[in-house]
Amino acid sequence: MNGPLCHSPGDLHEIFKAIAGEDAQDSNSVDFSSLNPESYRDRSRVLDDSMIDLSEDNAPNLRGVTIGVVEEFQIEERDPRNKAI
Amino acid sequence: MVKTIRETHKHMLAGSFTPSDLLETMWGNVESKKFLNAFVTMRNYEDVQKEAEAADARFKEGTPLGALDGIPISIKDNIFVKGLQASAASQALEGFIAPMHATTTQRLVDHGCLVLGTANMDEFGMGSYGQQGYKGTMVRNPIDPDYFPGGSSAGSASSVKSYQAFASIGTDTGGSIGQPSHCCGLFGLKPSFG
Repeated sequence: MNGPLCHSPGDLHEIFKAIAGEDAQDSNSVDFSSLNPESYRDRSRVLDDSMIDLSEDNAPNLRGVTIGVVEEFQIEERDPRNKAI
Repeated sequence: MVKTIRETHKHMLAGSFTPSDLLETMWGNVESKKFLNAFVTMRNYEDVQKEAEAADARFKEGTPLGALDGIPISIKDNIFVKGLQASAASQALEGFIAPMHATTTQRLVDHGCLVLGTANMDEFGMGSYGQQGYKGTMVRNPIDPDYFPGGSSAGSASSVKSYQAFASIGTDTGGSIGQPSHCCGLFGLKPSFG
């Protein structure tokens, strides 16, 4: 699956808006446009402007967004710089 | 220094600098940070410069294509960029030139993005550290080159973090966007189908 890497959630939003949608060249691609808006909103809520404050460019703000943490990846960090994040 | 695409777009709208200025800076970073091994293949600078000049003109006329107009980006080496080698960082595919843009690439080009080149990766995406790159190269983490940048979209993360590009397109099957984003202090998104 193709996806963006950027410096802020706002930038992800801009790139994702440009690349989102069905790919006629990819048989695995799905056209979600026929789904009702509420259903689509549920699937894309992390990029919904109402869920993320994108008003400030340098203020990545996930206020209100529920996130999951995979505990297996939370290894005891050896580098103090990682602990500070 | 500007840090995000949106901030950059505001500056270009205000005329603080042009897409050509930005390209020159980014290309300078590409030249000075080759030790990070973020890229596999670069486009011809003059070709990208022409696209930047076209973006310059659009901004001058007040008709930019949007927030992505004139933004330099990198594309992972397993995604087609027309005219560039698409090898998935494998010598098995050395010399294979993409005959067309991938849909993702085409959409970004249509929005005015300046594709600089293809980003290094773990060969065929089979890695999580960026240490099995093209011709055995190890991609370095710009935060500390002694550390790995995560993979397999290693060059994507490294190029963005080191401002050789403002954004990159990676691919993710089992964490290949999320992990390098995490290791390099970036934001990544693995979209759902559709």
